[in-house]
Amino acid sequence: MNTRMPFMKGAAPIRRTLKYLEQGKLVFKDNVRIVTFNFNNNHTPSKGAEDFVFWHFAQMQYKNPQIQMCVFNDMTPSPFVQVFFNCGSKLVLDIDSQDKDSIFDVVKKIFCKSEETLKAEALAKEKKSNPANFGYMCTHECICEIPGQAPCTRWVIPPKEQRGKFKFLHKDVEEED
Amino acid sequence: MATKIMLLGQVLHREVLKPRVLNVRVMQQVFDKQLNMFFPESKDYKVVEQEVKVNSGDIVRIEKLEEKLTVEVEHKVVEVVFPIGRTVDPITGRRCRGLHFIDEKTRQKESDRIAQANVPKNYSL
Repeated sequence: MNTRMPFMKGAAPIRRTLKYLEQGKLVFKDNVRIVTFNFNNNHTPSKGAEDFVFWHFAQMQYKNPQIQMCVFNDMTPSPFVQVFFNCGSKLVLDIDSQDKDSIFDVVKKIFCKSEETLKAEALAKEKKSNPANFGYMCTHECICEIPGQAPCTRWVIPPKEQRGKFKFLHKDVEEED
Repeated sequence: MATKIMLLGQVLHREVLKPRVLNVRVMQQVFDKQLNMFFPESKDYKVVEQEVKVNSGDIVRIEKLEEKLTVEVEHKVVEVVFPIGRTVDPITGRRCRGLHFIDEKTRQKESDRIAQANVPKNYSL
């Protein structure tokens, strides 16, 4: 009995791994509220849409927990993606006879946050949360704020042994009383 | 613009003694942490029908009201996305039924034929 991967059952169980879900690249923009996928079963023009939903639906819902994602089958002859925005407007994306990779690219380009935005957001999040980071927008601006560290050199002149001028450039530093 | 809470759901039925209050069923995907899978779970909302008129079975978009109307009613119907029996394909704009478009010409001919049919006055059907 295989007990190491007990839930690797069903079609493409890799879709159910946390690693796969975390790697979802489709993070919708902030003003998107509802995303609807309409396609048909056993219908050649909606094969790409079906594959896209099969592989990427869980990723999208995992990365966008606030968005309602619906799948409708056999409602209209043509497959499409309908996106509802915060202001009440909606956009329809025709995905008739397209394969899943091109649908992925189109959805990413139109409705999702770009790679740069995601990177910047991740950086901002890390800066704010990690107390080991110092600088602008971090928990502390400078290490001189921490009790037990050297005081700020703006207010206190450090001894000559700690000054780079003396230590590395071997310049004469006058000792001030 | 303020964040609006919008949902897409299907109208089930009207409240018996409150004709303007509808039951709308919304399918939400709930994440199971053991299986790392999403399962659809339905949630019923009591929704008030104000400007937009609906039939039972329509797929509608509901929005949260700024102020609760009653203790139970917190949402209102904003738009009918797919009316039942009158589904319109948003890409072509034609009426459709399942996987086929509706042939408007044949339908028009049939309704004309029925309108012009010679029916005697005391024919109960």
